[in-house]
Amino acid sequence: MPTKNVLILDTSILCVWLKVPGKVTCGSGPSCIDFSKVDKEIQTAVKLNYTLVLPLASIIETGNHITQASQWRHERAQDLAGLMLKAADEASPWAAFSDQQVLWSAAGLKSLAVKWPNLAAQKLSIGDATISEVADYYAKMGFEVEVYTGDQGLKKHCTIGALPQPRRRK
Amino acid sequence: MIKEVRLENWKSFPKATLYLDPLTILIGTNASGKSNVLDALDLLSQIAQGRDFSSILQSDSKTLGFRGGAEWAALKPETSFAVSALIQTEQPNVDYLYRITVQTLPKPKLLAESLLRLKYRPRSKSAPYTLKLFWTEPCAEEDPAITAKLYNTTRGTPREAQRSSSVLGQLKLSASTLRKEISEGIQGVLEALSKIFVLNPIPSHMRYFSPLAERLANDASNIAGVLAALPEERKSSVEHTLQQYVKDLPEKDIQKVWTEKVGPFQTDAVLLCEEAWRSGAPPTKVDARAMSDGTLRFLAILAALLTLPVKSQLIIEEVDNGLHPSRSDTLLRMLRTVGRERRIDVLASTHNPALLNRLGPDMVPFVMVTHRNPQSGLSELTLLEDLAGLPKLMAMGPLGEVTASGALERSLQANGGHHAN
Repeated sequence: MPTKNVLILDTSILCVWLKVPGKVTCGSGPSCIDFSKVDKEIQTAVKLNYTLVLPLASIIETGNHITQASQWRHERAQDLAGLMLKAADEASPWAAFSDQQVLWSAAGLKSLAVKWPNLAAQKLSIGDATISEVADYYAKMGFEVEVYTGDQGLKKHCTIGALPQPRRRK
Repeated sequence: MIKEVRLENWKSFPKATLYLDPLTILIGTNASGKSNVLDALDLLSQIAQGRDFSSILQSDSKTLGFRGGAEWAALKPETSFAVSALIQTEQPNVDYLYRITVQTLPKPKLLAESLLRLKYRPRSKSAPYTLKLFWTEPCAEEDPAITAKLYNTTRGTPREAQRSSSVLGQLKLSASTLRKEISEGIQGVLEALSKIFVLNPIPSHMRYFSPLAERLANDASNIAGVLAALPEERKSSVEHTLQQYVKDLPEKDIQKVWTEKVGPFQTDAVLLCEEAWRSGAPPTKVDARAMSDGTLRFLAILAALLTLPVKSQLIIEEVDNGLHPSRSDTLLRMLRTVGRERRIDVLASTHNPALLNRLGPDMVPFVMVTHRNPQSGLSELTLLEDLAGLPKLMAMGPLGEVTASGALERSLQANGGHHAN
């Protein structure tokens, strides 16, 4: 059986892992997340045949952070480009979540417009704010979903309400 | 209800399991074996009716029509196939597993048949307590008859059966005289299999008067007759539901759908609707001759959902044929809602990305995909959720786009279909 595990990364985590100057750690104190922590989680996930999902917004935001960095812009851009190529390659464990319907439809935009300003006040980017929708989408398909975010660390994602179960599992 | 259908050497499938739920969607490219899966259900329903194998397998089937006849019923070079069905009846914690093996060449005849009762322990589906209700003994090729053994707590009571049709069908008439366990099993299985209904609506057949009838024809040609023959109270509630859904169709602004009895003896009926093109203008009365193919097909599906016996298994090939893509939501809502209300399970095949796009992530466990194994050229049937690359595929877009871009097919070829059993 193929594994049904999905790990979704947010912008802050992706920046830490790609060592984007100025963004090499996130969180503070004991919950501080640095490269070695992120790398360990990613390597474990790859080993366990997880699919690693990058929401499109996270890719765009990370790209912006790279272009605005004080140095290493070309090197970091190449690293991110490498990841983008992997996501486009059907055989790699990396996936770029680019389904427009889920987040960027009229209904998605309306709901984001309502919730994001408050989150922005807490310094949460649009990419980070939309990660739970991406997680929900996968959870509804019946996958085990984990989200790795700068503010919460690694967390299991659970959907609200019971999903319809096929008879073969009852 | 039928929970599973298993195929062995049936048409293009060496081995496959179809899982059935309230709404199951079957997808796959042309010639990948979709129709062969649906044919297996049609076959089971005809077996339950007690029809001769040779007449079932000839291409004269009134329903789907088995393409290729007996010669192509078994996967070449095999000359026999087996089909099984796992059936749940009203009895709690009990499933019945029915299996039939039929020789196709040189002449269609019965090779083996059995019916098991699986009684599950509370809270566990594994290792059920199994009772063999009947089974056939091996027989020689030229034997005109086959011996079926009926459960009697010891070695089984022998009973001679013909090889031209199913033992299940032959035991039908005497079922009530058999032991309680056997008669319950036979009746439960026969009931479930006889409630398989293959709908293949043909709009051109639906446009004319049809005689009053109780049961919808497979091509829905007698839709007017069936709706008009309903008892008055049921008729108005059915027409109300038809109206509710048809209003959502884009063709024309349909206000009302109903049937009227016609002819000197009021024994035929005609399907009518009222269209309003401009607000304020009086609606125009139109009969089925002027209705679009899409509207008629849609009405046929709805009529089947509303008039088939409760707990039927409805099968619709190319369910959204002729329907405007923007109405996929209406169609899905109708299949789910009316299906649930009338406890009718729906198995629908489709090619249409617009419909697949609207399924939503929680429908993933209810989608099955047929494809041809690139090495063997044989058909495989895979649960969408078992596809190794699924999380990645679904990141690219909704299912319709993933299918239309060919990415689903590539993923199946790369990973190989996982045999569900």
